[in-house]
Amino acid sequence: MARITGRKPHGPSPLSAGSLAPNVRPPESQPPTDLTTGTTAGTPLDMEPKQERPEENQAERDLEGTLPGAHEVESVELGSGVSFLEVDDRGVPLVMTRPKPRGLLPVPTEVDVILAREEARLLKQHGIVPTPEAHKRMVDSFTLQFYYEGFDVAHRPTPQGVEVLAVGHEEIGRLVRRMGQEELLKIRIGQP
Amino acid sequence: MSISRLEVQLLGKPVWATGDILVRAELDLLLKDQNGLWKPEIFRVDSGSEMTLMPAYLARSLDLPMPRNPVPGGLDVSGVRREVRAGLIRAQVVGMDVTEYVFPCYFVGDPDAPHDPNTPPTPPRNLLGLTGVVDKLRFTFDGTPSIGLPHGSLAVEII
Repeated sequence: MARITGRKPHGPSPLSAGSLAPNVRPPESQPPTDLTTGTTAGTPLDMEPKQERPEENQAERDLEGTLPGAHEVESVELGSGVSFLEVDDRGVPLVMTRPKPRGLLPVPTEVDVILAREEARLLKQHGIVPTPEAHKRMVDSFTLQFYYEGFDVAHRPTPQGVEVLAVGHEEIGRLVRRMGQEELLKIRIGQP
Repeated sequence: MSISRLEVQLLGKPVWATGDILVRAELDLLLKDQNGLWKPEIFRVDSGSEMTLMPAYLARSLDLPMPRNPVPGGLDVSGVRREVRAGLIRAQVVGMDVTEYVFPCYFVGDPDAPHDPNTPPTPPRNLLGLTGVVDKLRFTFDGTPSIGLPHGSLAVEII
């Protein structure tokens, strides 16, 4: 049986649907990066001069190091809260149990079923029938999510469906480095 | 022709166990790499995020300019202390005119951290936050379904 786990929320749930209640858990107990040794930085990268924040200057950097409490970690709120990921009874994300095809993705039965249900709801509640283009976008999006939710994926739409070109940042990096600008404009990269 | 307003569909995310469809907003951006090439990346538009962010490992794989040194001491990112490089991205919005925007961006995590491609990466993901963005672009969420936009739309306008 699938369960749903949510990331740690901040503030009220953004969900308006009353049928879905997040099963909120604290963030994954991944050990935080030890930042006290100063050795966690990766290979230094050359950065364009303009990449530096324009407001930073030596005086500010010096002052920052001497302010009381400057050693305390500041907090930044990134992400509004809950992200749902379905898991099995062992806590393993369901997406991990699904195949990982490359190339043109076959549309699984689960996508057909859930899309039919959704389109029936749209017709009943709003009296609309999605256009063929909108229907195809949903099929492609749901299919990508079925196989690759949460993964970094390079893909492109085709008339026959969505085509997966690379999975994972290393594979994606190798792919894009082989491509010219024109080819790059035809693909999409993201986490379904 | 200059396009100053773009309407993109809000996307549905199926919850397979319940049949629910959740809604989210994503925007296709082109990011300028170190060689001047524009690389595509999808960002989730998140009004709850103070700052735009990308995983540092992903920025590295795309050859995006990134600060050499992380913020001393790291930052607490939504409850988790992380290595953060405070930089910026040069971006175009796909479907709008070719204006190059400069958005501040936090690159989160170790850019050299090894990752098993057979497992989904841990958060965070690409998020388009408020700082340095909403003074340039206006975002309007409209959940009104239509035949072309079954879950509603996100309108993006140049300010």
